[in-house]
Amino acid sequence: MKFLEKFGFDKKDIENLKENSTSNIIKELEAHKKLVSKNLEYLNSIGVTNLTEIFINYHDMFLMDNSNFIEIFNKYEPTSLIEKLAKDVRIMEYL
Amino acid sequence: MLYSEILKLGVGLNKDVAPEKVYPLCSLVKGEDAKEVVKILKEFGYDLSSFNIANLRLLTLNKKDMKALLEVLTKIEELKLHDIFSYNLNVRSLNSSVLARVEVCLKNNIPFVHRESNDLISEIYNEEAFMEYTNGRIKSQDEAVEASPVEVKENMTLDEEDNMVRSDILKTLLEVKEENKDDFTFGFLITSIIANLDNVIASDNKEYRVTGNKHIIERALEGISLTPDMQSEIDNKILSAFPDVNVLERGV
Repeated sequence: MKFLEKFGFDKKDIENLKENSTSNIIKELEAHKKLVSKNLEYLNSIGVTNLTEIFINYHDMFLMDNSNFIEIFNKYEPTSLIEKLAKDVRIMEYL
Repeated sequence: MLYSEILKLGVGLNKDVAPEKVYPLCSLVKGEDAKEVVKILKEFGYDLSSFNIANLRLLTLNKKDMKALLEVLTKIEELKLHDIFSYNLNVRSLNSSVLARVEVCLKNNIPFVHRESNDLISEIYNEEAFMEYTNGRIKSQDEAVEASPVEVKENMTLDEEDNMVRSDILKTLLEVKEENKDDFTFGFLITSIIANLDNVIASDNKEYRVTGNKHIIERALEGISLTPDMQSEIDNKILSAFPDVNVLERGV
């Protein structure tokens, strides 16, 4: 999961991610690291402040097609969205 | 598996979660394995009708993970924690180390669930954070048996030297645990030892300077019910990780 380091993930974050996932999902994230990176880049670009937390909890969503992924977040005003995500990461699955 | 096929297994999705968000996860769910996981969860009486993403992740467990899942679920029943784990039914919570920490909390009347949400507290997921959280709150074995209300012993504080010994031991134990992370019983054993560490070190009167860290582990093991299998694991994996004689000069 080395590709996550460029998004600010440290060893502990990656360990947390693995604990919160299964070997099958981790393999898939690794196999689709380009797509996952693209989705991570998108959230980074809109200024999300808790990217690590979001990914650890909802990494499976980062396997979505990039355009579908962007569509989820595009519906909202960025500043308010970023604020809400920082306050409670669980809104990710209800967006 | 297709999302619709997963629904046919008797798994429902929380109505507020848009199905397209779980499609990638569904594609990783393998038919026979998922059926087995669903069967296990149903047998243990868990409600699968309103899953969220974290719950669904359980369906991607492989056969090896399933064995561990079965052991954890059995232990949850023994501890009568079914209701709490119904709210925390996910890969991260259904883990032997997490459960061992919960058991330590149970035995010592230490809160481990957020009252409002029923979520397990974050310290339960991290050994170091857990040590901090429970520091000074773990009762000795005799007190635990009596199950009296929590009473923190005033003389149970560790000084700088004690803390150094504690850190050394903890580091070694966590390494040994990591090397055997797939072994449920072993993980449980290590966590039980860790839970006893503070009391043992605090009451050791610095005898560890002479007797070594191995002696601390032996004392921490007193009172933990052991099967013959466990005893050989202790000898081969745990005690062998500690040298017979510690650095005598430490703190002298």
